[in-house]
Amino acid sequence: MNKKDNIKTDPVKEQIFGSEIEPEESFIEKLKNIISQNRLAFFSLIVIILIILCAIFADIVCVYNPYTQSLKDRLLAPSFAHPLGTDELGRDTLTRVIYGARISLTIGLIPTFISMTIGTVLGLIAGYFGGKIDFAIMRLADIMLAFPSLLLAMVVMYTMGGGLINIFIALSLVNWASTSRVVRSETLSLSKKEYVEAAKSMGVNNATIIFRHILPNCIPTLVVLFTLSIPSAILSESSLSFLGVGAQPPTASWGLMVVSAKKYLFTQPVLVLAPAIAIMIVVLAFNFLGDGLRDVLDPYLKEQ
Amino acid sequence: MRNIVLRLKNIVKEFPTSKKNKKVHAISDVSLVIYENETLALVGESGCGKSTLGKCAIGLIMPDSGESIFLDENIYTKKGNDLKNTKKNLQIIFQDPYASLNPRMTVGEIISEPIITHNKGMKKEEIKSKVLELMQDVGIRKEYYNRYPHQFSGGQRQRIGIARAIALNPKLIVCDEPVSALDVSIQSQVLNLLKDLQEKKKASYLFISHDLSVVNFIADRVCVMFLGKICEIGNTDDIFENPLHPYTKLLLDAIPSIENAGRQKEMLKGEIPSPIDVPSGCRFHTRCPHCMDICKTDEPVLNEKDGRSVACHRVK
Amino acid sequence: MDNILTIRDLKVAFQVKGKSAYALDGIDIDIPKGKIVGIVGESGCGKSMTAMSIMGLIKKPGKIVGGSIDFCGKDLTKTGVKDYAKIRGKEISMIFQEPMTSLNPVVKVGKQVMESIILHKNLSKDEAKKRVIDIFNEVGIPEAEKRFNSYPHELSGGLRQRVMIGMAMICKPKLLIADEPTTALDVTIEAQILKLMKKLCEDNGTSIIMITHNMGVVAEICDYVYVMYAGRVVESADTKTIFTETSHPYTSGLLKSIPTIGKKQSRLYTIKGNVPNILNLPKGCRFVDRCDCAENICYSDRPENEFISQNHMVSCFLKKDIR
Repeated sequence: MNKKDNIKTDPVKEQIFGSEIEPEESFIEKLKNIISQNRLAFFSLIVIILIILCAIFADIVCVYNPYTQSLKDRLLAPSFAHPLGTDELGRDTLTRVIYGARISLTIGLIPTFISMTIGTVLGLIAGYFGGKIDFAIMRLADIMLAFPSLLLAMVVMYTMGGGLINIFIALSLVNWASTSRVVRSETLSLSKKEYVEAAKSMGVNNATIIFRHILPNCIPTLVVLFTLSIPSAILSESSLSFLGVGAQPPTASWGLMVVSAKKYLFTQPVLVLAPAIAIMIVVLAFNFLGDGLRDVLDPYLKEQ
Repeated sequence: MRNIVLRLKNIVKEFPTSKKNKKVHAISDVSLVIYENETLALVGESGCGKSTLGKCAIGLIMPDSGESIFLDENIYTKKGNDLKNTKKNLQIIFQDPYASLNPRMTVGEIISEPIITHNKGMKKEEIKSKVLELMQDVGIRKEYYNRYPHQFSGGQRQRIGIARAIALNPKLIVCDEPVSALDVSIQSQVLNLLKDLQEKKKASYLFISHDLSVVNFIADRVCVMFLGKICEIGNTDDIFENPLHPYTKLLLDAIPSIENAGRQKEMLKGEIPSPIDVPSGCRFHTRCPHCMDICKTDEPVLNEKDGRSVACHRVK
Repeated sequence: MDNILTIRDLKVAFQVKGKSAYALDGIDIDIPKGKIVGIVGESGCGKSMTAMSIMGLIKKPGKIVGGSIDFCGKDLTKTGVKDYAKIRGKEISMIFQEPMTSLNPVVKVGKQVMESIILHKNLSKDEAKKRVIDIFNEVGIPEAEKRFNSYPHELSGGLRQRVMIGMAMICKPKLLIADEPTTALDVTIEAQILKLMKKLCEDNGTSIIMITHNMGVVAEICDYVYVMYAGRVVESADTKTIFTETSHPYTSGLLKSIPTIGKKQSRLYTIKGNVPNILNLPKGCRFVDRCDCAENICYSDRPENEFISQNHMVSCFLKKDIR
């Protein structure tokens, strides 16, 4: 009898409706789960963080100065003093690759961020309000997408001249259209959701609905899109520099390094390979991270 | 005479189709009233326009023509703050407890949203205590204030949706199939909860359902719809004991029931006609077992007699 | 009585976080020839899992870990993939709740039905087409020849379900498993489909397993009923007995919580709580936390399956009529 009484008066058992809610996992446990399910993405994240740290603290990490020329040390083979050798002006390649990460990562992150912000705002407006605004924004996006993006960026660079700021502008202008398309279609489907209808029925205003109900649910897509756009921005910068309209010498940029080393492709391959491999590692790491984030951030996948 | 909460007048709603000149006739000239503190059930088969009508009633869908009159004012012509204050009194509970809650908001944020929207400047603690009270009202434990919807079962999510709908003490709540996605044992819990809350908060329900046994339990009056038109309105007991419209009769007969299992049924012939090509005359005549010549040509009007309305040429 | 299918002590387990969770924990089910057997219960009780085990469609990390499924002398738990392909669709077929998702949207329905018969019966195309049109007529699809060339989206929900039934019946299977076949349909269409299934069962001698949560559907067409709860059968009997001599508190709770037409109720009976998590089951009877009449023994011991009359099995310590 005693036992039964105990069970019956137990407040948890008495709670009629609250039973069977899944126990909350602690933050560390969650993190462990996520990492164990996405090892590759986690590894990529570490690589990216390491590269970013190297770029930020390049002054401390590097022994040499990236701009100091030393003609007596021209085109040295890799050695203990110069792990990746030196270039045609006697500058240490490893140092230049590390300093080059600064430019490449800034160009990967900032224009992508700007273009995504523009694209997201325009996409949200187009998708939520529809009608003529939608038509206008989407046709503009179509026009942007119809241009070969590299050509467009080159036109911008030629008219405005080289330089970092101009690269930012060129790449931002080129890339917003695809983001706005994705965000628009996401917004279209989200604004038909019942929780959006519920908010409308409560009298919540449009701006609040967009920022509270629609944008947060776009964020997983945006994060993935962001990480996947960074590589293409880095590659565009490299291409622009390669074509001579991007970063200007003597700035250390990966694209520029490939250009200036191309003469020595067969005599001193490490000069071309070092920046090229750096580009490849960063691009791959961001791609893997993007794939991993897509799995982690989707709340509907978590539900199953 | 009881007070009227909401009066719908000649609501018409058509949706365009991919073909020109062809339209889906979702609602064709429907008028009805909802009284204070009552539950009016809208029943009918899928595609009869009952959900659309429910959303039109509270202005979530704008009809092509007609009026929805709340407190002597047509809600469709209202704008700005005036509209916002009206919406406070007209709320909705959805069918799908999975789609109706924002997966990125916590339970607390979901339930507090209507309160914050309509009480700008209310203190945070005040809002929280109000939300906790609402959670208690619907039977969700306080500890779950910071949990996300995906951690709850279907029945519990539906409770969260109900808490959100009653947060502003609305005069009318449209319940759009609130229990049809739930298991039987959870369904009865939620139905009881809805009934208790009505007693406590004195709200009216426009209860949309295809399940007649649920309607029989919860509704005071029943409105039967077929292809965007009302067939019959009356008190629940009258409708269930003595259905006058042939469609209502067949609908009641079709319910698989424990008591009358194995009896010979009069089957409803064929499929529901398409709402794009609506039959001429009485819309039900293609399936009606008692079809007369006049039914094929003339559309019957809704005749009222002793608080009961029927649209059928046979019932006068 | 000839049983076409006999399930004995069937156990299906899932590996979750290093623990074994028994989705089915020793169930016994008999399906007699030419009868309709209902399996009822709430979501998560294991009724669909039972169907999947019979069809051999349990997906990893789930696995049949014990018991037998005897189908016409063959133990299906020991049948290999190749042999199963011969049984599935030919001798046992299945229909699902939502016919739209089980039909390929870009293939004409007639063609989809034909595929199954060509696969199993080696017929020529013309013969097969004739058979399909015959079966369409049999399952009550109007203008069968015209419908043969329709795409699934051109049909209404009721017609789609008829196509599914036609597809399932075309090889004249011995057993048809229907998983909530009418849940997505309107009542008037539901009544038509139930009548059709009953007719098919009577005309062809096909046994039907009717998986549903609707007690009304059970009462309407089933001959025998199995009530499942948390991976176990808690009560089974012929349909009449289950409604008149309900013996398990869960069954009676289910019956009482359905609103009855023609009875004025101010409140509905509710079974308190939720369906338990199979990882975290109570120690004694699985229903104990939600039971109104639980006694001491129910918290500590597990009830055995007991026959209280011929054909009436109940798994509860309180065997008296508690209704």
